[in-house]
Amino acid sequence: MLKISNLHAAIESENKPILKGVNLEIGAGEIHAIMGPNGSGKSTLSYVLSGRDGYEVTDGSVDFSGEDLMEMEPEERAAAGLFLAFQYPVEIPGVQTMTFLRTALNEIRKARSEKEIDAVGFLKLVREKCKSLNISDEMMKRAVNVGFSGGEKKRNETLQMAVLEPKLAVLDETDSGLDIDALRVVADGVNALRSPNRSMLVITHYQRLLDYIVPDKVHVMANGRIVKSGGKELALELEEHGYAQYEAA
Amino acid sequence: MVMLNTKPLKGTVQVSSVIPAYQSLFNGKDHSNDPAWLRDVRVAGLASFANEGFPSIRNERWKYTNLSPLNAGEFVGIEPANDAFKIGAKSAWAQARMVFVNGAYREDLSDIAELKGQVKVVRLHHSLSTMKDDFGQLLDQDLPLVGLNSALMQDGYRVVVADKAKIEGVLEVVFANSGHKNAVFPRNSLKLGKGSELTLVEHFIGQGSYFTNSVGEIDILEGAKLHHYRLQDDDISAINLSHSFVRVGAEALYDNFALSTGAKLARNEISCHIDGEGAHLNLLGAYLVSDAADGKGQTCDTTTFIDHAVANTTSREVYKGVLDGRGYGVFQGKILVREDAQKIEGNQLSRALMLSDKAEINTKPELEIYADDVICSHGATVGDLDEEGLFYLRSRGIPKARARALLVKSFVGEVLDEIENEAIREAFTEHTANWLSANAEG
Ligand SMILES: Nc1ncnc2c1ncn2[C@@H]1O[C@H](COP(=O)(O)OP(=O)(O)OP(=O)(O)O)[C@@H](O)[C@H]1O
Ligand SMILES: [Mg+2]
Repeated sequence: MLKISNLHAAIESENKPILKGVNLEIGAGEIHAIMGPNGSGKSTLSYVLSGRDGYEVTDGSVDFSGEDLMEMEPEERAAAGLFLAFQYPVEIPGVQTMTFLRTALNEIRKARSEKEIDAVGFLKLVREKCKSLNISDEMMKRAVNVGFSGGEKKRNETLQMAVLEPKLAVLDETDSGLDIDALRVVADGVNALRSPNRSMLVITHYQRLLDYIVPDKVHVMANGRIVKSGGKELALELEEHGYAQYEAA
Repeated sequence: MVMLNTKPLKGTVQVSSVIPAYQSLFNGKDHSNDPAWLRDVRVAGLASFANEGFPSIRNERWKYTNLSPLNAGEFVGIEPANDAFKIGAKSAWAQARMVFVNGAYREDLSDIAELKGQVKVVRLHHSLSTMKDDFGQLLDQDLPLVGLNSALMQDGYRVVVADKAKIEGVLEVVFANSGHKNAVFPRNSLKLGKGSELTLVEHFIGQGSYFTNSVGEIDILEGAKLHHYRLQDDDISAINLSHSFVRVGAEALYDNFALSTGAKLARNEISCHIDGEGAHLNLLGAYLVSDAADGKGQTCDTTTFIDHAVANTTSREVYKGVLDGRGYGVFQGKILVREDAQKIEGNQLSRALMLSDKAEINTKPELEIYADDVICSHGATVGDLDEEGLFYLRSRGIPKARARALLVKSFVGEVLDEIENEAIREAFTEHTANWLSANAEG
């Protein structure tokens, strides 16, 4: 599904290398978690994967289901089935959440030569997903993320993922800022999407999330590299000992 | 001792052949049917224009908008009405329509009888002889462009709404022009009787490099409400300089929205005198500019003046500009609060969205306040399209052009949404969307 090989990336404006040779392979249906200290490059990896401006890929490659991901525009990556749940979801004044989500879904369908969904069908679909994620109709009428609480923003990201049904979802700290109940709701939403052909990359600081979303593999990222990989028990070990031994490396 | 050059500014302005050009245009016309008072007004108007010619950028009121394209004196032809330019059917939201083609009233295209209620809609031309006390009372004839209009104006609309008459249907007035370097001088007059209400839309369209110099007088008596909408969709080669003078009486409302996408050089100037307590003013608008036909940018200038002459009056201004290509925007907003005019609230906001590095804007807010119990504010923002927002939309699968259009539409939509009349709000929103898909989706 996803194969990242020796990926090097730098902040374009400052010529500052952040990713220094990332290797990571995620098979279909697998869930991988990335943990690691602040500033180690986790969000940068997620941005580079989704095609945000401002990064220069200086070496390496990313293969996504047989396609060269780095050659694609962000919207093409989305159409190909990539989804990033942002660590900091962006506010877009004046664009209604409902309109935004329907436009996104239909653009993705168009790009895949699928039939567009009509207003009635869309409303039904969204109502269903909203209900399971505890998102009110009123929230859907508001401008995208504007005036949403931190937790509401994260739930909105999860909703978008549920509606767009990606092949690979990258969740960047979707658990940060959630209260205990909301964490459960979001984790249930994510688990509902688990399927043999959908993969996930979960970036988190807390082992707790991985109690709900049980990963196949856990990786430690430090200083722009994956420095250790293991099974889910690695998360427990990190919780106990911290990152000191990896940062020193 | 330093010698100061005290030569008056006016004497230094080189206006070349432009003044004689309009003088001979004036002399070539037959004014024998004008009443004597009107002839006096015309002569005085011509003199005020001849004093300065087209204002130069050294004139403080015009420092950001350069009228030099007019200075060669080429825009003097008045072409006869021609049918080469097709005028479409009346807009769906209009109950009645007046059409002026190249300044001349076109009865065959108009249907003013349709407007129901106690309202008189006529050609100004037909009312002039009886308008002695109503003509030119609200405006400043010393302004050269107003003077030029007074000297050369022929026709326009004259609308008088009876006291208490609430006119439900919308009146549309179309100013359609075509031709090459011809000039038209519409003159309009609108009077709302006490407690009356009217919705009027001025619609400028055309084809060619014509010059419109329009002047309007709007008198809103006690308790009356005017919803005045304006769509300036002139040809991209045209020049449109319009000035409305508005008087707002006690408890009255002047609600104005101007949408501008046309013309290579446009100025919409509104001067409002609020002279009755409890009056409210809404000056709203959006302008979208890009490259003009000659490869230079379109200029769109919005200049407003609000005179809070009495206490307990409020005004609100919101203008949003979208500037692409070499588009150039100007916003000048002056608010005057006179001595003793207490309990005034005046808020002004100008926001511009720059879609290109070559686009430019100048903003000049001016608050002149002589009373102390006053809340006045002004804000101006100039910004680029939000890159973070653009990436967020694209990361959800929305292609770049569509994502840009969504962001721009939401920027302009915020002020379009304030248009009270739903059908007109939709029509203006659609006009904006069409402009965006033709200009800004690249
Ligand atoms: N636009 C930028 N300009 C300069 N430095 C940047 C920029 N973006 C990221 N960085 C730097 O890159 C490094 C990695 O940042 P990144 O956001 O990827 O970390 P992270 O692992 O997601 O951290 P956290 O756990 O705090 O979210 C940091 O040192 C950060 O300061
Ligand atoms: Mg991060």
